[in-house]
Amino acid sequence: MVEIDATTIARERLRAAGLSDATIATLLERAIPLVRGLAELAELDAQLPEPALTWRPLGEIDS
Amino acid sequence: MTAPDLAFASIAQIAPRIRRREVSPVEVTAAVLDRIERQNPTLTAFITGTADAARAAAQEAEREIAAGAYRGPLHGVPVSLKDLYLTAGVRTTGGSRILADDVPTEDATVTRRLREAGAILVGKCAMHEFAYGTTTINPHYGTTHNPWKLDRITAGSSGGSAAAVAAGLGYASLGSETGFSIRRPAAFCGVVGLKPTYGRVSRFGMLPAAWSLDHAGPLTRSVEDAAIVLDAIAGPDQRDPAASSRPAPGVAAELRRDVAGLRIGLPRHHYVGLVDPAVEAAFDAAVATFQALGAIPVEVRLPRVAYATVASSTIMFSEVTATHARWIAERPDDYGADVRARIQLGFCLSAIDYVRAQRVRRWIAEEVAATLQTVDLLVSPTTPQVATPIEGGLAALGDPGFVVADGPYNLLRLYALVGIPAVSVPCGFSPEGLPIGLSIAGRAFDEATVLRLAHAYEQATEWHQRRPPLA
Repeated sequence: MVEIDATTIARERLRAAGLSDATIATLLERAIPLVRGLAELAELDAQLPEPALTWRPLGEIDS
Repeated sequence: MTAPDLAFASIAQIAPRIRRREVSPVEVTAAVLDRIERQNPTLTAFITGTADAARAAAQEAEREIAAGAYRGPLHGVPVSLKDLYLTAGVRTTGGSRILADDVPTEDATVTRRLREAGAILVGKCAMHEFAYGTTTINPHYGTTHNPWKLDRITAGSSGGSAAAVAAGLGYASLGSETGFSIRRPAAFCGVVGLKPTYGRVSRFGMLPAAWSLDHAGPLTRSVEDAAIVLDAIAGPDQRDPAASSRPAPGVAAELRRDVAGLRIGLPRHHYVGLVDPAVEAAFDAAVATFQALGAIPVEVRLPRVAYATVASSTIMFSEVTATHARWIAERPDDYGADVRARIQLGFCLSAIDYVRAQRVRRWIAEEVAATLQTVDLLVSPTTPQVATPIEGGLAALGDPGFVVADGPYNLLRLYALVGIPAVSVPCGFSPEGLPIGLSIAGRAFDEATVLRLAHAYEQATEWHQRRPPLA
């Protein structure tokens, strides 16, 4: 698995969202494993199908 | 019937007596309201009571039934709603301070369908704030206590609904599930909790947590009762863009078909040695019961399910934070600390993360669908542990968060993620007397087979007949 600096990534993302450093400090303990989890998902890209988001035309009867 | 017998009867037991006018909806409702008045100060199962309206509705039900206008098995039966279902004229708080004074002018679809079925609404149940937590320890409305041991949690977010049903405060409650918020409270409180197929029951008028994960479903004291409630609330609804247009054939009538020959898939690598020993022992005994009923256990492997927790969390966090983006910016201090933190955590996620998680979702769903071509059902312990101490809070639950590994939490998150129907039924008690639950899941829109096995198991055991040690 590609090594990532989960702490820096988490801090930067939360800072980009406008959260204060004090708030970020309270979130990091949970944000770090979340970022690591996201990296695990990124490793799967080559084998993943299209997302479960396919738009269906309004009024189409579901199958 | 004594008052406790009346309060703890099932819908299937009480309904024919109501229909034959052996017992009046007024009497039944009075017994339930009396119990709520006595027990709710201890349990905090309800945020808002609707006693006056319930008495009036019960009198109307009595008149209708006397006039021969019987609506069905829910007519005159007291039920409750998790406080995220819009209820016209009754405040609907979402367990929050932000919506503390919000009184909707129209009903959610499920509220309306229950009223049309003649059910008597006795109150709005306590819940984890905005359905975004797993303990029903709520800083705004108090902590909901487990009727089996008052110092234990009910789990969440449908904790009030589970406690109400377990304690005889109504015959059914409508909960909701985004992660596992019907089934874990059901397991912790020793009741049945059904999460139907995504789209089987309308979400219109349900305060959203995560739109693509939210499910409405009943908590009851028996599988047959869950089927009765599902039959009343399921079916197409043009006001919910995710509601399936498939007709919802009644499932209650299918419950007593034979289960011999059903192939039940056991994803053992996700729970063997990974759950509380009492939970594993109870589950192993349940598998023996399934075999005695003629079902065929088959070990299955679901390696992709190792990613269910992180995929579900990514989708959930993204959608919930999107829902709350304005409030969290303008009124952060009006949230409880745990929910505020969880919403803020959603800002860690990018659009690419969300789309990728939805690709993982489809990838996992494909594996589950393929497996359900080789077996009829998937069965596992509902949750790795029994009810934990309130004093320990969320930490006592020991939920791992976002691990990517084989483990029971992936199974716990799986069914809401892929949208297949799943029910939790009581399957035993721990040495301390705390309930244990097992989950049965099946193919999309095949609630009938899921509930058929659940009913057969329930009738072959006596767990559902036990009552918590309340006054």
